[in-house]
Amino acid sequence: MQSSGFETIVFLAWRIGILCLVVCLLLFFITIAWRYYNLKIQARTEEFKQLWLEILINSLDEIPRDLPEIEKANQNTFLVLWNHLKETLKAETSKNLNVIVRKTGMDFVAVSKLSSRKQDENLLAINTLGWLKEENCWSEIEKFARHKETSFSLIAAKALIRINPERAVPVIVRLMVEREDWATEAKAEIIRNIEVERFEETFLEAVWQASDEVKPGLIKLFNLLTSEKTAPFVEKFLTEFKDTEIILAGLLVFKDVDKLDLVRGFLSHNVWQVRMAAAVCLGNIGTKDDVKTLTQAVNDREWWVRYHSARALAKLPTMTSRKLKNIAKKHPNEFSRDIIQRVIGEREATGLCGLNY
Amino acid sequence: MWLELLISLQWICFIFFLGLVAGYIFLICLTLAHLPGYVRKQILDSMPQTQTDYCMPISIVVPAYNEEAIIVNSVRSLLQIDYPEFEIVVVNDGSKDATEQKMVEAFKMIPIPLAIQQRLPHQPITAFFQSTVFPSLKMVTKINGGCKSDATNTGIDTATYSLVCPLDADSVMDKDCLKHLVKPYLENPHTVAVGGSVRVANGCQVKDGLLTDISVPRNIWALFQLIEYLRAFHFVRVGWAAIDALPIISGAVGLFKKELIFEVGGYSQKTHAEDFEMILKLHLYHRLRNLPYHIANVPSAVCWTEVPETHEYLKRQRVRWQTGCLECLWFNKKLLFHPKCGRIGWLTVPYQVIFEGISPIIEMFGYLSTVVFFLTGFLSYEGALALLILVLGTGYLVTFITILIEEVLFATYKKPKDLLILFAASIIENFGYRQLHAFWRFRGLFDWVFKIEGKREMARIGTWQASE
Repeated sequence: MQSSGFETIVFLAWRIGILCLVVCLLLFFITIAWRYYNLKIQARTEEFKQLWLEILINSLDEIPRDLPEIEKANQNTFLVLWNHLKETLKAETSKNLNVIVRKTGMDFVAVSKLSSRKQDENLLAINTLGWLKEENCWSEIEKFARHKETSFSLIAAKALIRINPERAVPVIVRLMVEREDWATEAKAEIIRNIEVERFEETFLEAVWQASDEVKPGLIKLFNLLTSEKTAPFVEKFLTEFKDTEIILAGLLVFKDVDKLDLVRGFLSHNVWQVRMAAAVCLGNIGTKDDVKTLTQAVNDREWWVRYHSARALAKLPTMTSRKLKNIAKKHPNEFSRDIIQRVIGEREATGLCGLNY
Repeated sequence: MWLELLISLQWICFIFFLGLVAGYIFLICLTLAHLPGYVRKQILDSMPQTQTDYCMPISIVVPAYNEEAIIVNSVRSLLQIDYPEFEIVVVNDGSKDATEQKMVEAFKMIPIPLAIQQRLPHQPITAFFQSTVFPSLKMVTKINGGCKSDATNTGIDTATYSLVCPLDADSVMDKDCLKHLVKPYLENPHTVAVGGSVRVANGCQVKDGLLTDISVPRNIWALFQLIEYLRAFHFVRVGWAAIDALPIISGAVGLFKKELIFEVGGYSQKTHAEDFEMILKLHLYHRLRNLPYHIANVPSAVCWTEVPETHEYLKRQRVRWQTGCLECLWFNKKLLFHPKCGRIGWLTVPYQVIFEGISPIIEMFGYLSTVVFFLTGFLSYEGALALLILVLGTGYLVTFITILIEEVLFATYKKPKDLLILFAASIIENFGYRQLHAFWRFRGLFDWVFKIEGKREMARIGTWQASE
């Protein structure tokens, strides 16, 4: 006995079920075929890589007269391998690699891949042309530097620096200020690679004029610049701005030992993060005159300020474990004593690891 | 009249079933749309990267309760992670075995005075140790809190850095796992939490803390779980993350902004699924305050974990997960259709409530009624076969797509035999295991409704670490 309600369910179940099973069978064969195809491709790629790795490494000493032709299917593999070697080797040792690319015509291939619809090919092309210093492609690569995707813009920015660092400075500085999606780590890498004298001035000026929202992230990069050039800017940021984030960033990069009073003043700031940053800063560049100030800061109502003040105390020049123990013993506050004891313990354990605390 | 009622119920089951399949297909489509971007990122990641000092330091928190068998190997494995700056905080949660002693001996740990700021609820700390060999390794011993959340909260309270990565003591992270996990923080300043992929370690071999051989498990229970994990991590989470509505990050691998964990009050001790609850709380916290935030999923950040290999332990785990899931949804019911809650409140949470929360009732009714109707003659042989083919077909479809994604993107299981075993397991799991699983989830729902506290103890097999 079967009602019409069931009949409809059964009718639908048959059709959907069978359709799914057919698709499954298809998926099974696709997966197996993919595995088989992939293994074949991998074997072929591996063989190609072995051959070309040997050629490229040998070419570092002497460029071979005859080079095997690179088939279309292997062009990307070649470019990936070549880029890996370029990134790994120092610029002066890898000059011959550029000759190989031009000899095999892969420079033209890279130019054509700039307009490819495949984004991985675009990335490879940008990177390759950067290493080749292809100034003819500047405008296309500059467009990629403004691409909304972070990965594109970063790779393109690095390529521009490689092509012509002088010409790249204004573009890069503007991008560093504008691109909030560029991580500090990525910006730091760019600064390290841009060996142009006027970069620092341009960058410092741009940071000064940047909006307050982006300033803190950029100030943190001052550690990578010459401290003599950054010092006046850092001082101005600390004295003329009230924004907590800017002050925190400023304290992070403060290195002017002649202006320590400025930092000491922040130990009484109403925001605890600023007090903590000031204590950390004094721990890095403070003198024995800061013992009293930091001993007081160990009394702070905020745990992290107490902890970092105690750590800063331990890091001051001429501070020994015995002196620290004395400070702890004499300290009227129980919590402050505890925190100094913890820091003494950490310092001793770190010392046993053979490291400085 | 009875017949009409039964037919109506059958229709409900049928529509529910189609809805579930539609949900899966929706998530698969989202995943497939997201894949090109993922592949591009993989190509970019394969380029050599210059290391800078501007990394974001990370505190890894490892709660350990009676883990003497594996804790030293697990920590050794963590110490080999390829990341510029991180610390490991092992939380010995009042273990009754030699966990503390083994750690102290293996890593030459010495007690240091205790001074911490307690911002999260947890049982008191009794001792604090620092390794004299590895400066980045610490151990906190505390009074047992009876749950993982209590230990994790302690670890987070003692963590030094602003990003925390709570782990399971038996997890083995891939060497570059942290590098992958931290990327969303570098790319998007609003990132508050990042999850990775959990893979089944049973069947693999670990030497000196590193995975040396990757194979599918030979134990049938572990094999079925491997299929489930692949489904969960390859398209369910990738799919939800693609529309910024990820509801869960596994407790085995996640990276969080510490300050936000403090803001939401830490891991809850009232639920068995504290990892799920944490993500729902983070959504709720940001949504209600209109704060910008991003919860990301990185499939390439891989962590390996041991899964139960016996029926009894698996049952306990699944009953607990179901109870936990319902608890979390109940605690965060404010998310459901809240005007401020966007996709998470209007799509993900309703999906979780229907297809994860109350689905065991409908599933069990569907299975039982089909059998009863067939035995009583309401359903013909042909009808029963049609329903069976529907269930099998849709089940296989979802799993086979998952295996294809796994093969194209990760190709983790290199041995041809392993691929065939995966297909075989995905066929067999539909005959008995899925029904059993539905029953365990039904039991979890029952326990939650009637507030029954089930057994929670689990046993570590650890055979995959035996070669060490």
